[in-house]
Amino acid sequence: MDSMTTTPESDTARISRREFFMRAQVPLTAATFFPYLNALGTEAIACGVKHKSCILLFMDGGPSHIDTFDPKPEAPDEYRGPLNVIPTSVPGIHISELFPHFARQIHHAAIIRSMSTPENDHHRGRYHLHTGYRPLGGGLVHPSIGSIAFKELRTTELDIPGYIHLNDGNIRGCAPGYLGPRYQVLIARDGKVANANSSVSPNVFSARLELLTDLDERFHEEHAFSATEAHTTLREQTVRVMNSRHLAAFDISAESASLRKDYGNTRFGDACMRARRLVEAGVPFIEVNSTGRWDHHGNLYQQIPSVAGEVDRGMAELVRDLHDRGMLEHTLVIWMGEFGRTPKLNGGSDSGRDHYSKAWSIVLAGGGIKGGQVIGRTDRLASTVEERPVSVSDLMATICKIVGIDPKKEYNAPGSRPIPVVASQSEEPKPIVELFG
Amino acid sequence: LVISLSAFAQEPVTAASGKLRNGREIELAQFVDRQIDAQLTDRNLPIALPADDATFIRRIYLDLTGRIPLPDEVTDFLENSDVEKRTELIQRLVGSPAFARHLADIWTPLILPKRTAGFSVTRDGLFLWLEQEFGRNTPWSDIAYELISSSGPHNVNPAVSMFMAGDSTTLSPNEATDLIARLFLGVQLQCAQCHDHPFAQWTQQEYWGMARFFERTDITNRWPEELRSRAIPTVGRKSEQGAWYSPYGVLDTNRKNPRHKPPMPDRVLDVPARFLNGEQPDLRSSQSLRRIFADWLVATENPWFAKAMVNRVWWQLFGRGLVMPVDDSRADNRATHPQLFDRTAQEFAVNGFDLQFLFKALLLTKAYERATGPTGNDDENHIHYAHRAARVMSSEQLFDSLLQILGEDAMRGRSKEIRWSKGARAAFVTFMTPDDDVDPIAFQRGVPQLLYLLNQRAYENALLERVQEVVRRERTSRDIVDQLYLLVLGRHPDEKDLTLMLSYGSQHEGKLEAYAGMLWALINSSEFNLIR
Repeated sequence: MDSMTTTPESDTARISRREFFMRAQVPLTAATFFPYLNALGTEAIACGVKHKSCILLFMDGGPSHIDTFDPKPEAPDEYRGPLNVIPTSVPGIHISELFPHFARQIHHAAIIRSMSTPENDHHRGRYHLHTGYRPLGGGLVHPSIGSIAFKELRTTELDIPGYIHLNDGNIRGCAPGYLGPRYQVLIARDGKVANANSSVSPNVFSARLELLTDLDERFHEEHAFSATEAHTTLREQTVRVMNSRHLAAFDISAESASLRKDYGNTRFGDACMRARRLVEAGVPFIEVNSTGRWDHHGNLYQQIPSVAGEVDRGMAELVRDLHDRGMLEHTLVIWMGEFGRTPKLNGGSDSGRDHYSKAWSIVLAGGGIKGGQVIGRTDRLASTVEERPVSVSDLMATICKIVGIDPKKEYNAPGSRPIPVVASQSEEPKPIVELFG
Repeated sequence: LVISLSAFAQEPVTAASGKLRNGREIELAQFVDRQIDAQLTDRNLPIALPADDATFIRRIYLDLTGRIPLPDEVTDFLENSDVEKRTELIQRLVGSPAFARHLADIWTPLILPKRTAGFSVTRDGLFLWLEQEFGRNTPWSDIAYELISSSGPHNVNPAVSMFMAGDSTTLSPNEATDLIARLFLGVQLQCAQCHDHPFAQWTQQEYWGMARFFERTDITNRWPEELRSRAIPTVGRKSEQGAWYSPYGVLDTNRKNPRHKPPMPDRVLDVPARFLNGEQPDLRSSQSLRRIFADWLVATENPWFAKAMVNRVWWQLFGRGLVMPVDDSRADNRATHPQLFDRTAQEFAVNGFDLQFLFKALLLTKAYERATGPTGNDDENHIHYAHRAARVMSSEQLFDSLLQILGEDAMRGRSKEIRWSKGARAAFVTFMTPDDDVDPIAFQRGVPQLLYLLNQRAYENALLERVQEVVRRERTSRDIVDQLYLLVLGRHPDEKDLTLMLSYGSQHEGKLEAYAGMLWALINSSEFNLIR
């Protein structure tokens, strides 16, 4: 287990505790850094990108693939549903009318229509799509890809956690597992990091902190417990978060009103905008849940337009904005849920679709992949994969290749069991080669 | 079920419990010490002195009641000159209501891990049932038997709860196999679900053979009306308020469980139901398969059952198991002290799986009493108990101790009830425990948890109130600091502590703020967060 008892962050270790807390005395507000932060994006690119980042747009509940990115206009009514199909920025690629804005960004995106996975239950599917593993029981929790990216990609210049979740819905499957709590996701509900501000004035806080540091130093001199060392190091990291200039990335008030409007002026749109700012700050992995749930067992066509509308605008503008700023090359955007939905509608006018993981779709954009393509194919009813099935291991291997993580790297799970980043049970996971030049 | 409203942690521990079992605890304690000391001598490791009184009382309160001792409990103990006072304290705390509650606190999340997804079960019922059984000192074999074989709606019989929550919405036969093997047999079978491990002794035959006992366990809410309408027990609230939960429960059926996820591999489809020792029971009788399994499990001859609990209790008291990981007993993973392990398990079984007997025997050892020393997980001194390991307070211990210091208003958060399974305490524990499996000697919290502890606005008022009370009572600043130390760390400050605190106080004009700052620093200190 990668426990908290070892390896203090190298950069804080170099500074003495006292010096560290003296620095912490300067009260910093987000406002101080607006000018800096606006320059940050271009600066990061100018001085060379250190790592790629990933923004996961998670469509909680499991979107219907037929009604989104794998429409079947030729299929019988009880399969295709009432939605129309629209052309996209790439001739020959058609998607559902629910995504008119994103249709104009398809040249940056690859639609994967051949996901085929074993989990049909929300919790199990969520776990599977976040960790690449199936829930095993036995107390073993696999780390999410976000925690893995945090561990593998975060540079020491970033003093907030490397995995940020931008709204507070379902975070099942997002656990750090055997990487340890140090790599856990930081939740920022609507951009607010809970308890990031001291409950007393900055001067009082730093005086208290100094006393606490003295207390712990004394204690540690007498009892050299590894837990004390870990506790103290963690506290230093935490205070760094409180004073971090990177917190300004959560504040979108500095963005122009027109850009906010382009993102949709919605919770999801705002979160997408914050995600872009966090990439600029150097956060390797950011996750955003769709505000609405896609679990449409009934009343599908009454409900899906509003759920999809918010997502369409937010993700389309995110991709466009990232491209506009020259950031899309080093930022992978993933649109996915935990599974697709049954190709055949389940009833009459209040009809819906149920869970379906045998054949479904996800979308990738940016990160240097070859855009404007469709990968894999389902049959005429979108019910089985006819060409190029993609497993979750293949998907994880693809993400690893794009952002630069070694998929074969092994972590020590409890009981000294080495477990690789990407699961390879029966056969070697294969990155989707078509995505790479 | 008698629904007791669990009291808060502050109640002083009063109930005295029974006498020692004819000195058999002492005999076992001496045997344990001889085994430990023999290894220490072999390895030439220096043995630590016994911990001082203040350290000892804080340790034992946290271990047995889940909270730090009150200032009065500390000073009474320090001033008591009876040479038998430690033994008396052990006798008094083992079997107290707080002890039963603390054990229920430890076992509830083991049986219903927090990542489980049961929509139809609450933790309250299980917690209250366990608290009641531990309070009666029901033999561990009876408790385990009920947990594994009970039927009925969970509002009437909360012992069924284990089967009502898994990674999906119910506990599938394979999840039941994993969980029951880990908790009640102390072995990990989950790897054998998919493959025979090349080195371990468990194969797919054992795994799927055991899973067979749980494949006819069904979840249902179809009960007679008089059972359906019974209130669901909840902690600290009027019970009818919990009644919006469906009265789901557990039943044995004749058909195979359709909920088998993931499906069994083809080549093990014909594995017959069999116990871990290879025996195949006679299934022709119409008995519930779970009962057949439970009968085998709790039999005195089953070596795994007693050992699994001994290792858990050892882990709770010593910060590591005799076998590590705590639930991973197997031929190629030997105990650090094999004879000690065998004999203790044997005594536990022979004495009717009496948990109070087991606790007392281990608490009476010299090994338990030792002072701490510098500790890492691979440290020989820790593995062989030359000194004790400092452990990190569990989230439950931390909450109850903070509650004792800061009071209910500070800890209540937005919820009306503190101890209800959807109340402030449960929310705190869920948030503060990122992992289900926590290594007790590693500091396993992260940035979000520390932000919470450092910056809780609700603590601020409480800090000032607490300080005001102390300032009203005590005259000199030395006495005030002394009281703050007793309140939080359960000891008197030494001269260096006093110098540090008083110099901090002298730098601040607002006296109350200075003391509030001291209290803040103390509750955030490493010393407070650790069990020495």
